[in-house]
Amino acid sequence: MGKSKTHPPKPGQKLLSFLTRYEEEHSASGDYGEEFKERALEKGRSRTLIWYWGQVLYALAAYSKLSTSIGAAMLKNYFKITWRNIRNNKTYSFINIMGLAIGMACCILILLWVQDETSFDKFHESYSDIYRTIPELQDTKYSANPLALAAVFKEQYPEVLKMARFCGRNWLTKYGDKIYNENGALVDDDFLKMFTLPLIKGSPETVFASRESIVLTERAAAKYFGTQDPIGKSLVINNNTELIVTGILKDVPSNSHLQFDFLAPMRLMGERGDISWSYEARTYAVLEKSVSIQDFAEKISGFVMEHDKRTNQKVVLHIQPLSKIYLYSLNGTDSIIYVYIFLTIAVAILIIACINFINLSTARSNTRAKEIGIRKVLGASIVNIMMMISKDFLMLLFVSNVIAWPIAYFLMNRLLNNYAYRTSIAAWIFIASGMAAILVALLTVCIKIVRAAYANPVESLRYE
Amino acid sequence: MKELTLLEQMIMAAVVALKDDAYGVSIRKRVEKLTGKQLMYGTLYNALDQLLRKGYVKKTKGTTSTARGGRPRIYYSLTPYGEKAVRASYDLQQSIWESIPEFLGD
Repeated sequence: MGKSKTHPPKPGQKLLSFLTRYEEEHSASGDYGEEFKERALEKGRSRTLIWYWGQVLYALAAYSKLSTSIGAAMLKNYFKITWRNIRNNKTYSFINIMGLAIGMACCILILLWVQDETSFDKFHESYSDIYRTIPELQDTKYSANPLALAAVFKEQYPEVLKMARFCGRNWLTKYGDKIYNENGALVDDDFLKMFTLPLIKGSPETVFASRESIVLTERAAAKYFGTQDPIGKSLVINNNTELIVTGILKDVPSNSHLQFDFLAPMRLMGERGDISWSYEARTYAVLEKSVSIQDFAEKISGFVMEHDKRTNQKVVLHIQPLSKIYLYSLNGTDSIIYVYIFLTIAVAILIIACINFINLSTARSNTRAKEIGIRKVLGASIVNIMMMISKDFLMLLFVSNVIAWPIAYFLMNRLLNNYAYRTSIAAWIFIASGMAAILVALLTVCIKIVRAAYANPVESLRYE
Repeated sequence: MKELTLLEQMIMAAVVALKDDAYGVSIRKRVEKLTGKQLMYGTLYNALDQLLRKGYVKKTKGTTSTARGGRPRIYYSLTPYGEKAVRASYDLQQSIWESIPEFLGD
């Protein structure tokens, strides 16, 4: 390691010797190496590294400037022509650019939506270990489980690490003269330890210590108490129960299938909550990682029949992983189908936009056959011609990207405002779709370019 | 003979001053010291390329060391043609500044 401390990094040397002739001509890596060592000993490695990379990048730039200085006039001319081509063919350029831009904007929007849909519930730390039990009665599956199921279930199966019920309802909630209908839920103590729903105030161990406690989301707390500290204040639920605020939850992310304004302990339900076999509570379980889900599912299928002595009705108990709750439905069509459909549409839109772009561009490059012919006769190389044509395309692609991104961003923001607290916009989707468009267009355009560049100039100039 | 640029003059002066020790690192340092500004290797090599192409400067391979990662030093020295160019350049500079003695006199 001692050696590498005073030696410049290899990639930089490689880059230089590969891209420039400084290495052969002036033994550049030797000079860099010598001075690198000197500086590293004097000023430290990190500062020397900065100096070094600055030198390398500058050398690359300087070299390319030198090697193109002869062709610089030619290059300038190409840029001018490109700009004039866009300007002179306004309709063509407009259709071409807007077609691609709108296509790309649609594609970005769809991808953002897909990203949001597929991100559901993933923020829970034990995402892959959480399951919920699903009873099936007369060929219909329900998310509501018997209230008494959880306790017995956990006792009977040791592979269940944690178990929590979630009994959501609408409650009339009152504080002073403020009365709202809230979407609240009674939950077991383990609920907050199972799901990653961080508390801003209070700790998951103690918030439900008392039976008459309530945990509000930040949003709900602000509604009732404004800027006051809500801890210790009391809310009246359904005009008969007074609950003391013991904790504040961070707002539930929008990409969560569990949505609620407040949580209260299951014990509020009293004895009925522990013994009733009425179907009222969603029931979640954390299983050990080593458990084979297929075997476990088989084992539990008769569980309800076994314990519920009220009827002889046939009930099959299923288990469903958290990852399948949002995108798969219990009965009927899974909504993941829509994700696939939209993904296909996105790809199709992008391909169509690219085909349109390519067709228009090809038509244009045919009309430029004469220009290309003359350039060739005047001594432009095949590489020159290829550069010229692809620069036109790149310019158009660039402009379309510049138009598409703000459109998609603006629309998405509008959409996001309609759904409060949706997931944030991911930058990589914009970049990825831009890249995809450039790649698809360039790949196909390449063939056309090569053909145009290799064409015999005599053909195009014969009849002049 | 075309006039030398200021950078070319500085490099050639450094080559003369450094005598047998004129190679990349030492030339760069000397020119930097003279101007007080950073001289990038890219700029130096480009200028040296020009001087080589014009025939003012020739290079000889020198010794190598571990600090240089096994790469030999490339030493630069003036060709007779280059020496003539330096003198011509000096004369030109002189006559430029001598043409405005009253301005420089104050």
